Amino acid sequence: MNGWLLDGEPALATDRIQGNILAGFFTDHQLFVGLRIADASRARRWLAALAGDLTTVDDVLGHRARARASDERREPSGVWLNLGVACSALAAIGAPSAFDDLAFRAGLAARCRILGDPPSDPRTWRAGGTGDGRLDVLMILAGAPAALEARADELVASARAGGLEPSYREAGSTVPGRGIEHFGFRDGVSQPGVLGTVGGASDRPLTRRSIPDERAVPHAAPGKPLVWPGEFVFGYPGQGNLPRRPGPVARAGDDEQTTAFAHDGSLLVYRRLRQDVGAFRRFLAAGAEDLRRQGAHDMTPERLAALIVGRWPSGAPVTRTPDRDDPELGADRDRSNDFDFGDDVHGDRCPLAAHIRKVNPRAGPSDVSVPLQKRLLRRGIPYGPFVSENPSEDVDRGLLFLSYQCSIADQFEFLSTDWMNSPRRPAGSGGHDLVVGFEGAEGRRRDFELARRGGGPPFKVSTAEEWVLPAGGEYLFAPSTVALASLTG
Amino acid sequence: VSFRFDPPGWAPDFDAPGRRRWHEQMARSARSNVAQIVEQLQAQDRTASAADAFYVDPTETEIPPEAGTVAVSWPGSPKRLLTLAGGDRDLAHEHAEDLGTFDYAQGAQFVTANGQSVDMPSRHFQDEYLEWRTERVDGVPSRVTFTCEAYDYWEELFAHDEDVVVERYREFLGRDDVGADDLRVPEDVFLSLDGRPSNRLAFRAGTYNPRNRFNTREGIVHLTHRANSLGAEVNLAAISSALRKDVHGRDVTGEDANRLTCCGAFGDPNRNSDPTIGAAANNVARSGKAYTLTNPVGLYIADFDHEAVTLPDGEGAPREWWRVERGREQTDDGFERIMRLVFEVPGDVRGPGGGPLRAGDLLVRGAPLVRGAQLAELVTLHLMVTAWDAPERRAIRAACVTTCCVGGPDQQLLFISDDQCAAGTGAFDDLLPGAPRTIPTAGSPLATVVAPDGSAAAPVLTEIELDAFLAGGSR
Repeated sequence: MNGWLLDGEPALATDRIQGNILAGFFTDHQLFVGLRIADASRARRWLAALAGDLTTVDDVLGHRARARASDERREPSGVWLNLGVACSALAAIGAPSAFDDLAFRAGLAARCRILGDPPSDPRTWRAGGTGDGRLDVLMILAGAPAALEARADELVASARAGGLEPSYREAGSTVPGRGIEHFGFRDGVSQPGVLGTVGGASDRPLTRRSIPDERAVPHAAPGKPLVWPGEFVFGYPGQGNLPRRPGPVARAGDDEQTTAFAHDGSLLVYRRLRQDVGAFRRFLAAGAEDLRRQGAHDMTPERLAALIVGRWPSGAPVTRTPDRDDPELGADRDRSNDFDFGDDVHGDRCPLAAHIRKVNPRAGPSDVSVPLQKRLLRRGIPYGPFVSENPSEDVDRGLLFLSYQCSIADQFEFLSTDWMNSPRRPAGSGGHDLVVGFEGAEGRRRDFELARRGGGPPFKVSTAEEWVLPAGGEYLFAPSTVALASLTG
Repeated sequence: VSFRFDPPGWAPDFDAPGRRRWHEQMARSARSNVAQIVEQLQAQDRTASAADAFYVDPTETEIPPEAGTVAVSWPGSPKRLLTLAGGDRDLAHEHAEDLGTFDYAQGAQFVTANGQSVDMPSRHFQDEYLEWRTERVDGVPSRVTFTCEAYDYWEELFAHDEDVVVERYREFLGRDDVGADDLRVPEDVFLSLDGRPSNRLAFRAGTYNPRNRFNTREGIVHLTHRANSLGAEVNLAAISSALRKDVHGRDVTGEDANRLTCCGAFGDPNRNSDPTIGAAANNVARSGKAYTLTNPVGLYIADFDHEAVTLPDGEGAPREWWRVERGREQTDDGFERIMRLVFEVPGDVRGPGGGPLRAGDLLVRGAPLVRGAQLAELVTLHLMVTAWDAPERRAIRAACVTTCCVGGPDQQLLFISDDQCAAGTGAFDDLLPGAPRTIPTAGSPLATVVAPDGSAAAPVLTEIELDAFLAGGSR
């Protein structure tokens, strides 16, 4: 049952694709280290020499297989290392940089306004931007905390000697609960599966298939559709008009050098999203009261939060358990993802603007005919102390958001600008994504609608408050180990 | 039942007899759509009747007060053209405003009875129920005008009241040299697929010519693409109410909107609009709700992402530079019904050099505005569906009436076929019974894109070949 493959699934070069892209590090502790290029030609050589230290998909999968066999922890024994390089930095060191993706070429600081972000000054960003925090290179380290710091020190010392200066360093951690973000919700529950086989020409699928191949859109598991790898890694067929047939091969640009350099690489979005837990909770309390006044008598802050997210804190979807959290359901990876919105066209069970519907309409209403072309591989991790550890509201805490995709403009930015920030898309109406959506227009007012049981005009809450405050990050390219090594010359 | 079909967007064009005429026209189309659904359901269950159709003729069935309205939206930028262009967005943008006849068929020509060629083009790549035209000054875009008004409305209006149509043309285009005769088909026009004289009458002498020069080469008043008709849209929104099953008896659903479109033969699976509308309507039916299209039935511009347009210094361009010229942005039911939208920089705004700021000086999501297609990417369309729980309707699942074959760049274009596809070109093998054909049927739309040996046409699309792939004629 688990071995089925579609015709045309490509063999992925998992020995050279960075591990976090297709396997995901998913460790409890990670460390982000940023570097600024001081001397371009030395930096180029330093980066090329680092290629051999990068953790590949094979490395991560191999470790997991061994861990499963020996019943060990999933955490790596050493430190895993991946990296991304900004487009301007590629150009500075003379690496191929003629990418088609306008957003990648411009960099995050230039795209904030398009993303609708609350105003912030990129010169003062702690990570990325145009000041001291500039991220020419972002290294992502994963492993045990002590080992992470030691390895980072080592890398920074070596980088200094190699023509780069440290510009940023920040730890991420999912402690105390795996996958829980600061608003208290399990994060990253639903990720697409990726078609293709590992280890060269083997017949072993990258994404294990736990259900038989009997759906129109191939699924690896309930709620886990299989997407063609060219959506995430250059050089492979992407998602075309037919889910069971390979689509056009993902190319980084028209320029042959860039296309070759980008092969087996991916574009990486890093966003440092500060979360204001107090503001979110105050909104939930006020919003629930407002909704009760409108006639939604059973509304509570907890319930409103679940409706805004589309899931309860445990990860249990409101579609399947509308009235209360069901931790047992939330803990069941398959069952908690086994639903779609095809028969919930009014948003009766899950609001049309719930975060999980905005970014992944599943089989429900969507304004594009192939929504699978809009998926990302999310690899984020929270930073800062959890409220349970430090209840102070003045603490800097949030999410180090990471996503891999082949088009920042058509995938990450599309989800932000066209769906999350839109009061009507993709489902036709329903309001904004109140978790991470923004309204760039004056007033910045966002609306969220709840279907009224028994019909009639929807209940509506509005706010201009913001509890996710992006201020930092960068658009980067995560090359294959081979491409990085090729910079030697 | 006291239901009346109002003109799209409550347009103030028809007089009282005209409004009755419009109502009757729409009522006829609702009846015929129900009949078509019933026919397909009866192929499964001979006892099926209109009472089992989830699409409802509102002149026959009262809409209950608890009914709710939902919008179905889609982006206005043509997806099929992007596929034709092999995913090259710049190439697609460059051709988006081309005029031609490929919406009829590849190589289609219009000729008079004696074989003389007639120039009746459409904006033949703009097939998402949104069409636009860019006006330029010294080659730089100065104004982009969008419309989503179906041509069949204007045909009815012209047939009823030529004067008001002339008046609207003059008003929209700001010129007074438009006369009724300019908008009329001067003599019978025939469709020729091979350049030779033909007896396929396309436009009858004396009727309204939706592809007249004031609506194509010299201006834009309403939609021109053959598929951009209100009748087609209503039909697909209705027919897609039929629940579907494949040859194994498994449900065919909106999980894959293109597959559902290929199964039910509604619209063009290469667009965003048709599969999206069809899947949404099918989802409504699948959730046990009856529905009808919300009055006034029409296709509307819902929204435009004005924040995506910025001044050269990065500041946002004011929303007021988008002007609603027809239809309503504010409505009682909260759903916008914009029908004509113009983007233009007011004449008194100065650019960085001190001269007048032109639209072409602006940026769209960071890229210089060089073509109207960039703005079309910011426009969202929608139609509204009013639905209510209908437990009494039986969930009869109809068999697929068609399937799709593949062709075009990267085998990404889908062609609806009522027969199995040639070997190797079938998009789905379980929608229609039977084995793949060894030779394509002569004369089918597929013949234009599938070579006689069954192989798909050239896999790589160059600029010159772009139009050669428009098969059209799948309706």
